[in-house]
Amino acid sequence: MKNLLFNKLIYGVVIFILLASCSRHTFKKASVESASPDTITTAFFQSDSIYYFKTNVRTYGKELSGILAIKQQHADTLKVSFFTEMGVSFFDALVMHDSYQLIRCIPQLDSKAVMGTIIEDIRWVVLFNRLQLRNAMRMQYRSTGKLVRFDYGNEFIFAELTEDNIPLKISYAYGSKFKSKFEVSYGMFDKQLPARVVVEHHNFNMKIELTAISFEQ
Amino acid sequence: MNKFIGIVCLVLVAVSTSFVLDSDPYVAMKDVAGFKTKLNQKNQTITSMKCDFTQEKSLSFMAQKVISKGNMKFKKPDMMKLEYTTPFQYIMSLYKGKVVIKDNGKVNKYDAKSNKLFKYVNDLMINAVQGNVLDSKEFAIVFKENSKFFLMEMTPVDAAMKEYVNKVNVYVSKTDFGVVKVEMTEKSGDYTLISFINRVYNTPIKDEEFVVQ
Repeated sequence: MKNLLFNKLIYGVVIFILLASCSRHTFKKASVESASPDTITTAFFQSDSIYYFKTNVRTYGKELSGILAIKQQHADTLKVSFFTEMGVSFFDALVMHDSYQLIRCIPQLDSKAVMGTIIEDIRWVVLFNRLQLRNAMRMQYRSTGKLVRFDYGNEFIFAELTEDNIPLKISYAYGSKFKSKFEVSYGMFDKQLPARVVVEHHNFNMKIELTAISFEQ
Repeated sequence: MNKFIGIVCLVLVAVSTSFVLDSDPYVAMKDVAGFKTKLNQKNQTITSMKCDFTQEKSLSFMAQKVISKGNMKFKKPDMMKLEYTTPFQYIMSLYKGKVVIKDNGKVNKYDAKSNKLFKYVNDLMINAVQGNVLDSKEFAIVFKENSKFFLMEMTPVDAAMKEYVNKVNVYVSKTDFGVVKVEMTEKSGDYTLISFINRVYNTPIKDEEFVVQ
């Protein structure tokens, strides 16, 4: 079952590359209102250095579940582990802002395309790269509340923010038409920390649902 | 001065703790044939088992240990249900050749035989909780003991399986020949230790209790 699922994951990434130009999710019609002083704020890693999420990955009708552990090693480094509920490891990785290093990984996941996608998702789950954002622009778009566009290298992050600049949703967009690769929704806030995070890819069929959990140490 | 006394106390505690830990080391089992006979006799008397469990997973990469808890039931010949209750809800049931997983309110069924890893883990768990691994061709077993436990150190024969599990230790109580702990160690050295507590044998369990909906 899991072999099939991993094949699907790899297949999904290939499809993603092929269909990237066909995305229906774009911010093409969003217009710049003004330059903005806004930055994204978050409570992640303010009081704790490690977070655990019960994680479900769904792709093409197949499901994979496990526990995702994300620890801030330094301001610029995360340690990430993903393992099954029964304790068998999928992968361990060191994650930096613009690179990552796989410490170990099961063969089925060990591909640059698959891991690159998963690692970028994880960066945005805990908003690790928020300080890499530049050139904030307040946007006007549909009936969305406070929408701010940031430059993220050569790509873009569109963030729906509360008045306190806590993100409710971020979309990772690219190209002149601001097509969205994926979006991350944050919900069920407790002391400004989201207890539920959903990552949804638009260019291939993958949805990741994360629910915060606390382990007895 | 107080600081010095504190440091001395800490060192003494550390030394005495390590002494206690090493004071009951595992040595080669003296009577392997006798152990096998008694374990087989015990297995023949078991028709079912219910217990709670505590699962400790080491994350050496993060220098963390995480603990989850739940309950387990087993019924011969091949029914088993593991239900995690803390800190997440997750059920895995083995019933009539199917693996049924309930996660996040959703139920998924898989054919236990269709996936080598699934079959391997299922067989391992079902056989391990019974202590029924003596004749396994999938493991090389080294028999050890200390004052409280018999220990079967099992190394997978299949190289592909070593990618997932490097070693499985099954601890059997010297008091009642019941399996009290199963420890799976991965290639990296990370381990998952499942301890079975409040074990109750041979209470009636209906087949329906293994059905997950």
